[in-house]
Amino acid sequence: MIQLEQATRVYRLGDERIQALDSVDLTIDDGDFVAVMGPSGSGKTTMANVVGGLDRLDSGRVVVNGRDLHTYNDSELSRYRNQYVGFVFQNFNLHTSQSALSNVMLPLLFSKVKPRERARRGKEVLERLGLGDRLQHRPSQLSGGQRQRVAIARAIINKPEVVIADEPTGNLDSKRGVEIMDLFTELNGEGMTIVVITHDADVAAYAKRTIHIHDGQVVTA
Amino acid sequence: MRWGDYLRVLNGNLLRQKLRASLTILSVVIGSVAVICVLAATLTVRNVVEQQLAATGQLTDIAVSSNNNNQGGGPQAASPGGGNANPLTQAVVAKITALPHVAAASPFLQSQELQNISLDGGDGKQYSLNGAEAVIPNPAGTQSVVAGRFIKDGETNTIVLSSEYLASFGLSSPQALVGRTVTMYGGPGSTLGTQPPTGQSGGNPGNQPAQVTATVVGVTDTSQSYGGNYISLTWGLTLATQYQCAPTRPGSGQPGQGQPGSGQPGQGQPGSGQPGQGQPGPGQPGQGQPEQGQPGPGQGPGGCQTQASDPLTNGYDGLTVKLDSTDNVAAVNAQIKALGFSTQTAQDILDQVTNVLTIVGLVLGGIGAISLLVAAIGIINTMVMATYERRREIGVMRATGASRRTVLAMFTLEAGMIGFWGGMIGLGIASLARLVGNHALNNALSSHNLAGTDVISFPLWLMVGVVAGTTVLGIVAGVLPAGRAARLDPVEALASGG
Repeated sequence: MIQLEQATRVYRLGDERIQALDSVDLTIDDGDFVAVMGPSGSGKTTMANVVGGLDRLDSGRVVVNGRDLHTYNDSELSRYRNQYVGFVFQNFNLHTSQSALSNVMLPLLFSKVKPRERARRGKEVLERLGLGDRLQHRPSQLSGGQRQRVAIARAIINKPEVVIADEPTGNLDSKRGVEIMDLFTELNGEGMTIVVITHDADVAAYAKRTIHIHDGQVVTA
Repeated sequence: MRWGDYLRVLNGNLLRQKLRASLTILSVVIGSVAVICVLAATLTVRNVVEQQLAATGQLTDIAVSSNNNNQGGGPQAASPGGGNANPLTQAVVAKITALPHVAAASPFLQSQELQNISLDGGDGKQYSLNGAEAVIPNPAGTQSVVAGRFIKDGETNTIVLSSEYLASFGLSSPQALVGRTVTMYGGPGSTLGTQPPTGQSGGNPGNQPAQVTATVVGVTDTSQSYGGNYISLTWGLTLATQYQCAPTRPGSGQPGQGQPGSGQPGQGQPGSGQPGQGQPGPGQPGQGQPEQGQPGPGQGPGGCQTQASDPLTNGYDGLTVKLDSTDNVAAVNAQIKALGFSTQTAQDILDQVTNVLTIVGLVLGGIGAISLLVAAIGIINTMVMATYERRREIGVMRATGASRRTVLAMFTLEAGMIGFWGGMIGLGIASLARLVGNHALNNALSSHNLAGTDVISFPLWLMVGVVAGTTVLGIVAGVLPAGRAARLDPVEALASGG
C-alpha cells in the first residue's frame, strides 16, 4: 500500500516558489493500476518521483508497504529504488552505447547479482517481452515500441512491488502505445502495482482508477 | 556493485570516448615516462658506481691514512721538526689487523724514488714513471691485471706497469710487455743500494742517477681504479731505505740542476722535476734555495731526498683494510677513526654520489612532476566533461538503484583507470627504451673490451610505484568531478538533455 500523508513539496526557482505537492493525502492499494492525470506543472511527476524515492518531501510522509521513505538515508533509498520500484520514462532513457541486454541488466549491477545470473534473468525478461532476438541490439537498432519494452524489462527485472511509468506512450504511435499498455495490464495482473502518469485519456482508460491533480492538490481520487 | 563490474563498466566508459580518453591517457604516459627516465637515470648512475666498487672489491675496503694531511708521495713524518704525530707504523697496522672483522690490512708506500723508466731493448728513451705504489698484494688490496699477474709479496725486481706505457714503448698489446725488462732511474745525484756514489759527497749530481732493473710481471688497465704501477712492499721498503741523494755543497748549486721539488717542505717527498731540465718546480722558495745550493729540510737538489725516511719507524703512506663483510664496514670504520686516522670507505663514495644524484633527481623529478601535474589537470577536465555529458545516464543509474557512493566510486575509479593505463603504457614505453638503451650501452662497452651488464634497470619498486602513483594521481584528480556527479539530484539529472 502506498500512503501519502500531508505530502508537501515546494520548488524554488529564483524568487519563484512552486508548490508541486500541496498537502496531498492519498492511498493506493497493493495491486492497483492507477492513472495520474493533470495539466503540465500540476505535480503528477513530482508525486511519482516522491513515491519512487527519487525525490523527498518537504513535509508530510510517504509510506510504501510500511516503509517510511522520509526516514531513509541515501543508501536505503537507493536500495528501495533498486528492489521495490521500477521506473519507465517517456524517452526510454536507455544507454545508447549498450545492448538491450546490458540495459536490462543495469539494476542487477547495483544489487550485486553475479554476471551469469544477470544474463540469465535479462534474457528471460526480454524473451518474455518478445525481444529474445534483440538481445545484443543497441537502442538505435530498435523501434520505439521495442525500446520502451526494453525499458519496461529493465523496470521489472527485479520484480518490483511498484512500477511507475511517466508518459510511457508519449513517444509512441497509437498501435505501439496499445501494446505497451497491454503489457502494463498484464504486469498488473501478476500483482504489480502500476502508477501511470499521463495526459492521454485513452491511456488512463487502462487503469482501474484515475487520480486528477491540479496545482499540487488531488482533485479526484 | 561488484569490483569486477566496476572494471567492466569503467573500461567500457573509457572506450566510449576513445579519442578523448586516449589523449588524456597520453598526457599521463608522457608524465610517467619522464618520471621513470629520471629515476632510472639516477639509479643507473648509482648502479654503475656501485658495480665498479663491487667489481674491485672495494665495498669491503677501508682506506686509512694518518691525519697529518700528508700530500706527498714519500714516507710520512719527515717533517723538519720531527716525526708524524700519528704515523701509520707497523705497530698501528698490527693493531688494526687485530680488530674484529678485519680480514687483512695492507700498508703501502708511494715509492717515488724512481722517476723515469725505459724499456730494455726498446728505443732507449726514458719516460716519466710517475711513481709506483709499493703494496702487499691480495687479500687486503684487490688489484686486477689485464695481462700477466700481480706482484707477489716479498719478491723484488718485479713490477706491474700501467698499460699507459704500451704506446710509449711501441707495444701493441699488454701481453707483449709481460716478461720484458725495464730500467728505472732515480733523481739526479741519487744512489741506490750498493751502487757507489760517484760525487764528492756520495752523489753524482745530474749525470748518473741511481738505476735499477725490474721484470714486468703484469699490466694493469689504466682506465680502471687500479690502473697504476705496483711493486712489492718488500722491495719498496728496500728502495726507500737504500736510496740516497748527494747533498750539494753550499754555494755550488748549479741553476737548473738544483731545482726545488713540488712536494711540501718537511714532508720528505722527492720532487717531480725532470733531471737536467733545470725547470724550477713549484716548491716553496727559501727552502729549496737552488741559488745558494742549500737544500731545504728534507729536500735536496732535483727533489731528491738526502736520506730516505724509514717507513717502519715513521709510518706508511696508507693502509688498505679489508673486512669480512660489507655489514661491518661502518663499525670497523668508526673504530679506526677512534684511533686517530682518516678513513674513506666505498660507502663514503656512494654517499657522495647519492647526494649528488638526489639533488639532480629532485631537479629533474620536478620537471617530471610538472608533466604529471598537467596530466592530472587533463584528467580533471576529462572527468568534468564526462560528468556533464552523462548527467542523464547518472539519473538513470540513480533511478535504478545506484547510491551516491556508487556514483562517486564509479567516476573516481574511472579517473583512476585513466591514470592506471597511462602508467602501464608509460612503463611499457620506458621498458622498450631501456632495452634499446642497454643494447646501445652494451655495444659501446664491448667496443672498449668491457663487459656490458645491462646497467639500466627498473627495480620492482619503481615499476609498481609508477603505476600505483599514476593510478592514485588519477583517483585524486577524479575526486572533484566524481563528487559533483554524486551530488547530482537524480530528478534534475533525468530531466537534463545530457
